[in-house]
Parts: sequence; structure tokens; C-alpha cells
Amino acid sequence: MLVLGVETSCDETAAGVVRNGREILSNIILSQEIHARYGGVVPEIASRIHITELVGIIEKALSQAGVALDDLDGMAVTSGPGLVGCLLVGLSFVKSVHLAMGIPYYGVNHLEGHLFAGRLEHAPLQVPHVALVASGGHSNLYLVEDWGKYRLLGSTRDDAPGEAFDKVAKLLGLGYPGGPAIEKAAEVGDRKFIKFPRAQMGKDSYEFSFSGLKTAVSVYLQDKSPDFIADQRGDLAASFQEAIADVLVRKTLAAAENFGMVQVSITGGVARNRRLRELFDERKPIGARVFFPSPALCTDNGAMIAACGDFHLARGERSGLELNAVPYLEL
Amino acid sequence: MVILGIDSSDDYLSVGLSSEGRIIFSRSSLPQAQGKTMLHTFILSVLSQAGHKISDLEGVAVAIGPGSFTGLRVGLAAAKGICWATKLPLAGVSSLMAIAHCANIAAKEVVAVKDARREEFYFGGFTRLDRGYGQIIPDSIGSAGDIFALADKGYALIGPGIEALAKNPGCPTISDGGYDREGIGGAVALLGEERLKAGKVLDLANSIPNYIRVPRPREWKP
Repeated sequence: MLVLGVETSCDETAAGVVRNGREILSNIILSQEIHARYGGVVPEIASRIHITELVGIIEKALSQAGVALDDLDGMAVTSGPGLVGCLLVGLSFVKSVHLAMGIPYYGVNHLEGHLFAGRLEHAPLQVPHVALVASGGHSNLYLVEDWGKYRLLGSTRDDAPGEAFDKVAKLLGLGYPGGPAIEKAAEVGDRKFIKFPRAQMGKDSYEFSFSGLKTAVSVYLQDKSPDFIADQRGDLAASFQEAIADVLVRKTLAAAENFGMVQVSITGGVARNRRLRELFDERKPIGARVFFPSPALCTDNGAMIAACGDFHLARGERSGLELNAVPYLEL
Repeated sequence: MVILGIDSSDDYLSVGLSSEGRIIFSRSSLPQAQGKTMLHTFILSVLSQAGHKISDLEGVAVAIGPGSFTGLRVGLAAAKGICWATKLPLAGVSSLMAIAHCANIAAKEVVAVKDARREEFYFGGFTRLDRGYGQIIPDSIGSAGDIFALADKGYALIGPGIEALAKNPGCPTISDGGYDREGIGGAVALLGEERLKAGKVLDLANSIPNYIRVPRPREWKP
């Protein structure tokens, strides 16, 4: 089965073609860099770029895959969660192609799409396993009992980790997006320079909270001179990054242990962070495996949406013309 | 030549069909009755009521703006999707000109008005020709005062923006919108048909709505 996946939920305009849910034939991603200028995603600007670029991105995805529209067996499009004005661009386009050509389509939950990014590249990743989706908008820990059957163990009570990276990067005078900026600055820093707090949220809790960490950095910087901050920027970035990675690794591995899982899948934009990857490798128990997608599949992308759509379409599930975009869709 | 016309630029949806220079069918939803997300079911229902199928179409026309940003994008994305899949040509039509075309008052010169929120209005001026209307004031954005000044010059004010406009002090007496909402989709189809016949086809990969208003978020400085 050949499936086209379309993703326009935030600031990536993306499309990809996947064969049989496993083989990526193309994965075209336009990351909208203009938002750096504003220190965060501006929904109206993101939506404007989606409507301008979407057709070109889809055409590129099909041509790179060597596939014509008529060859497609199905389409998948993110219908939530995300920015509603952004979601509606991709959804409206795909619905029209469905209306005009009769090609079946499925509205994919973006979070489930991330879970499928793990499966796309790693044939050995089996169910059940524990999965963490960590990104600019989410910090969700799941027990993946089966594909299509998920138990949400915990999520963030306030900021997502990617959001914390963005906010602290601003406090430290680093650029946007904060993830890559902090990671780069941290390369030359001492991660033990200062121990920022790790919110545990109670014993055996899988809930996350990152706003206190952001506040701790802000309070720490209050009486520091600009020279001090400039001199210690790398140390502060490394110490902050360590606090985030520590909490994510600790809770994810605790969940794996408590549920007796030997496989763990980490997805979402924050999964690109090299310190996070390193720390999982250092701390995972003997015999356990931690899977990370390659960077292009961590970022929002069309291939993961196609893979997830393939799974649902193969089960005979279909979305209709009345499907709505749901900004706070849950999984 | 059957052309499908789509307008989702305001708080209603309107879809219609034209053929050989005539509107053959047009329907609108009641204001706020249906979300933008129902556009596709609305298109399907209009086609079936008119006894047509997508395969009968020879072109698609969409109200390109001005209007609700999200509404314009839903309409344009829908129109692009149909045209991309079927290789039909796409035309973009001024949403204000479509309103002028649906004027149901006797005035020779009209200003079509849409609510742009934040105490501003989209407007364009049109004059009645032997057939249809010609544009004499380009699609613009302005205050209630700007539009009242045009009313003082003798333009009749029409369109879905009149209700919001009437909330302003000093608003001239305005009849009930002065246009036939039901006919908008058909007018878009008809005006689009004219554009397609004149070879004015939109490029699917690059065409954008005519937003008029530009977002100016604050820039971030370290």
C-alpha cells in the first residue's frame, strides 16, 4: 500500500510517501525558519506559509518517491493536535483530493504519528513498549500496549520540554529555536556547574513539570551581571540541559522497569538532543534497548503521518468529509 | 463549461455553479450555521442538488479575499486540492466583487463591505455595467469613517459588513445588507469563468489569498 502523508500542524510544512507502512520513499520537510525572528511560532505566519508552500511540497514528495497521484492507495493528514489555522490548510487540501478522486484518507493524531516514527526505522521495535513523545508542545509518556492501543502514563502539567528549551534560551540570550541553541552552547559547558531542580511530582509519578526549572534559571540569573552570564553561558546551558534530560530519562526508564518493558522508544523534536540520547545509553539497564528516530523523523514530518495512516487505513478505518481539525486532540 | 465557485471568506459558506456566462445554481449556509470545516460536505451537497459531479467541472473559482484569514485559506486549500487532483484550472475572484455582483438594490455605484474586525472594514467600490459590475475602488481596508465618506459621495453600501458598520455612530441608514447572500457562490463561479476565459489562471504552487492586512508580530531581541 502506498500512502501520502501530509503534516501542517505547526511550523513544518511537510509531506512524505511511505510504502507498506515501513519503507520511506520520500520525506520532504520545510521548516519555517522565519519564526526565529519572533522568538516563537506566530500562528498566522505559519498558516500563511502552509497555504503558499503545501502544493509544492506535496509535488516534491510524490516526484521524489517516483509516484503519481493515481498510484496512491490512501492519504493521511494530521487533524490534531496543533494550531487550528495550520491544521485546516492540510486537512482542507487532502479532503478535496479525496472528494475529487475518491482516494481514501485518514485524519491522523499527530502524537500517534510520532509513535509511528519510532516504528518506521526500527524493525526490531516491538509492542508492547514504553514510548516518550517529547517536543515543543508535548511531553507524553505512553505504554504502547499494541499499535493502536496506548495508555497515557503521564504528561506535562505546564511547559513541554521543547518550550522550556525555548524560554531558557531566551533568558540566556541564545537564539530560537532554543533546543539546538542550548545544545550547541552546552557543548563547551560544565553540566555540573549548578544543579537546577528536577521536579519529581511525587513518588512513582509519570507526570512532568518544567516551568519550575525555567523559573529556577530565571531566579538564579536575577543578581548575575551580563558579563557573568556571558562567561558562564555554556555552563548554564549544560546544567539546564542536564536537568531536563535527567528527568526525561529517569521517568521513562522507571516506567519501563515498572511495566517490565525492555524496549523504549523516544520520539519528537527533543529526541534529537544528543545529551538526552547519551544519558539514555548510559543509564539503560543491561538488555534494554532505547530507540531514537533519525533527526528528520524526530521533527514533524509527513512520513510518520503516512506510516500511521497506513496502519489505520489497512484496518479499514476511513475519515469522512466532515472531519474537523481538533487543536487539543488527545491520545 | 461548468465552473464551481467557492466562497468561505465570511461567516457563511457559499458554493455555486456557472455555465456559459450564467449562474446555474447557488447556495449559502446561514451565517455561523456551519464551521469552515463543513465546506467540503457543502460543496458535495451543492453539486448533487444541482445534478452535477466533480467530473462535469471544467474549472474552479475561489473567493481569494479579502476576508477571514482562516476562511480564505480553507477555501483556497480546498480549491487547490480539487484542481491539483483533477488538473482543472483555478481562478481567484475578489470576494468583494462577488458581493457587488449580488447587489439587489437599484444604485449604480456600490461599495461592498466586509467586517475586518478590530474596528476596520474591507471594502471595494464598483459601478454597474451593462453586464455585472466594474471595479472603480480597489479592494482596501479602512475605518468606518472611510466608508461613510464614500456613502456621502453617493455610493450605496452593501455586504455582510454592514451589520458591524451600523454599530458606529453617524452610520447612514442602510437597508438589509443590500445583497443576495444566496447568490455569492454562483457569482464567484461566474466571475471565475470570465477570468478563465481571459486566460487568468492561478498557479497552484504559488497562489496565496489576498489578505490585504499584514501581520506584524513584535520581533524578539536578545
